[in-house]
Amino acid sequence: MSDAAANREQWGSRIGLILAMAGNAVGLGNFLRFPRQAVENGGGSFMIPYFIAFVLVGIPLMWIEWGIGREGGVRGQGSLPGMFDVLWKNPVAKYLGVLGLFMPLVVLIYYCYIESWTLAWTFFSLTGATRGLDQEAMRGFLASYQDLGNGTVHGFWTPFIFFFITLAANIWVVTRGLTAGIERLAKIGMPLLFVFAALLVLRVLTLEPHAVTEVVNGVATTRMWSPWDGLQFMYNPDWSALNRPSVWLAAAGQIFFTLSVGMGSLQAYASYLKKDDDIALSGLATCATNETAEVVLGGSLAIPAIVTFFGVTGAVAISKAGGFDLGFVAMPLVFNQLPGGVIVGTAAGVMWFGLLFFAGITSSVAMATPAMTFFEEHFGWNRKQSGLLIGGLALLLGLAHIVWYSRGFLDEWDYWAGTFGLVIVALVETIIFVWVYGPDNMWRSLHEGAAMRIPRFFKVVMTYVTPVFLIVMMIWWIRQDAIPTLLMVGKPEAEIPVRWASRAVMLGILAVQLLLVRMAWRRRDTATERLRRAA
Amino acid sequence: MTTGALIFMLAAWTGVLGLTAWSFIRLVRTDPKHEAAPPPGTSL
Repeated sequence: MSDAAANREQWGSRIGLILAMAGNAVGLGNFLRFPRQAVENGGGSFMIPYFIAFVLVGIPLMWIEWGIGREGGVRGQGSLPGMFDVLWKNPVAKYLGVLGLFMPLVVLIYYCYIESWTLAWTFFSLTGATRGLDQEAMRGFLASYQDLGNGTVHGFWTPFIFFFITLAANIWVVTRGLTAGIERLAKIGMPLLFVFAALLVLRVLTLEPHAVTEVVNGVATTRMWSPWDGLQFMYNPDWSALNRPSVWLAAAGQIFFTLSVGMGSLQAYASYLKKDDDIALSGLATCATNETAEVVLGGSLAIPAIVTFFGVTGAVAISKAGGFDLGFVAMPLVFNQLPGGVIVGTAAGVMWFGLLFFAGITSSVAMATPAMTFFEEHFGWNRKQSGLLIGGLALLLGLAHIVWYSRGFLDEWDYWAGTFGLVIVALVETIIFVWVYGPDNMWRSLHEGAAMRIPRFFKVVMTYVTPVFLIVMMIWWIRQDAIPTLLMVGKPEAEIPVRWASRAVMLGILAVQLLLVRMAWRRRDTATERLRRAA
Repeated sequence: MTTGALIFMLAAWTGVLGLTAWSFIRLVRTDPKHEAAPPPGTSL
C-alpha cells in the first residue's frame, strides 16, 4: 500500500458509512420526482419496469461503483481519473475519469441552489409567510422567488441569502472531514429525515375525506376525496403502459436518479473503505434504504395529500406543472388546510421542507467530495483549501443560476450533466470495471470482505445486461431528447443566448478539469522520475 | 382502493421493506463488533 493510501481517512463506523451512502442516494427526487413519474407512467404498472430496472441496473451499478471506489481508494485514489487509471493502464483512462469530476461539481452548483429553496421554505413555513395564500398567490410566491423578487413578494436579495447560507453549510460540513463532518451529518440528518417523513405519512393517511369541486368538460361536480383515493390514483395499474418503451425508459431513468449512480460521488465515498470492508451487503442495504424512502415514504406523501384537497383532476394539473409545483406550491396549500390550525400546519411545513433540506444536503456534500479529494491527493492541498476553492467556484457560478434561472441557465446544466451525462459515466465505468478490468477480477473484488455472497446471476447481469440496458437507454435518449435539446427546439428566442452561455460555462469547466488532470499526472511523473534518479 | 391498486401497493411496500429489514438484520449479525470472540487459548 502506498503512503497516500495508508494516510487516507476512513469511515468511523459501518452504520455511519451506510447512512452517508444512503444520504447520498436519498435526495429531492425521492419525494418530488418519483410520485410524478409513477402517476404519469401507468400508476401501479410503473412498479413492474421500476423494480426490473432496480435489479438489472440499479443494484449492479451500485456494486460496480462501490467496487471501483474501493479499488481506487486502497491505491490512494479518491476520484474517478485516478480510479480509472489504476483499473485500466491506458493514457486515455484518466481523461475519461474527468467526467467523474465534472458531473458532481456541475450538479453540486445548481443542486445547492434548489436545496436553498427548501431552506427558504422551511423558514417561510416557520414565519407563516405562506399561510393563508390561495393557489394563485402560492404560485406567485414561488415565481417571485425564482424571478428575484420581481418587485412583488420577495426582496431581490432573498434567494442570494438562502443560497449563501446553504452553500456555507455544505462547505462547513465537508471541510470538517469524513467522520466529523459527512458522517456526523448523515447520523443526524438521515434519522431526522425518516422521522419527519414517517410522521407526515401518518398525518396524511389519517386525513378525513374532503369535498372538492371539479370542473370536467364544463360540468362542475363535487365529491369527497380521501388519501386512499390518492394511493388508488398512484397505484391503479394501467397495463397498456407496459407496451410503451417510454415507460420502461422512465422507470430506468428514475432508478438512475434515485440511487445517484453515474455521478462520481458514490465512488468517492467508497474510496474511504478498507480493503477488507464489506461491499456486497452494505451496498444492498443502502439501495434498500433509498427504496424505502422513495416507494414507502415518498409515494405516500405528496400525491395522497394533494388528491385529498384538490381531487384527481387538480393533482394531474399540479403534477404536469412540475415537481417544484408539487413540493413548493401544492404542499404548502395542503398544510394551510390541515385540521389542527396554525400549529399543525406550521409543524407539517417545517417537517416537509426540513426533510427535503436534509435529503438535499446529505446528497450535495457527497457531490463536493470528488473534486475536493482530487485537489488533496494530486496537488497536496488540505481540506480547508480545497473546500474554499470549491465553495468559491460554486458561489460564483451559483449566482449565474440565480440570475438566469427563469431563462434556462439551470435547465441546460440539469440536462447535460444531471441527466444525460450520468448515463455516459455509468456506461464508461461499467465497461472499464467489468470488461477491461475483467469480469473475474470484478467479481473477486466485490467479494473481498463480503458479508454475503452475491448471487451468480448478477455476474451475468453486470457483464452483459447492464451495459446493454445502458446503451439502449443512451440511444433512446439521444433520439428522443438530446438532439431536440441540443438544437433548442421550441425554446423562446430570449432564452437562446443564455442557454448558449450556460453551455459555454460547462465546457469551460470541463476544459479546465482536463488540464488539471494533465497537470496532476505530469507532476506525478516528474516526482517519480526524480525519485528514480535519486535512487 | 381497488384490489389491483392495493395488490400493487402492498407488493411494492413488502418487497422494499422486506429487503431493507433483511439486509439490516444480516448486517447486524455480521458486524465485526457482534462476532463471537475466538475460543480461549486460540492464538490470534
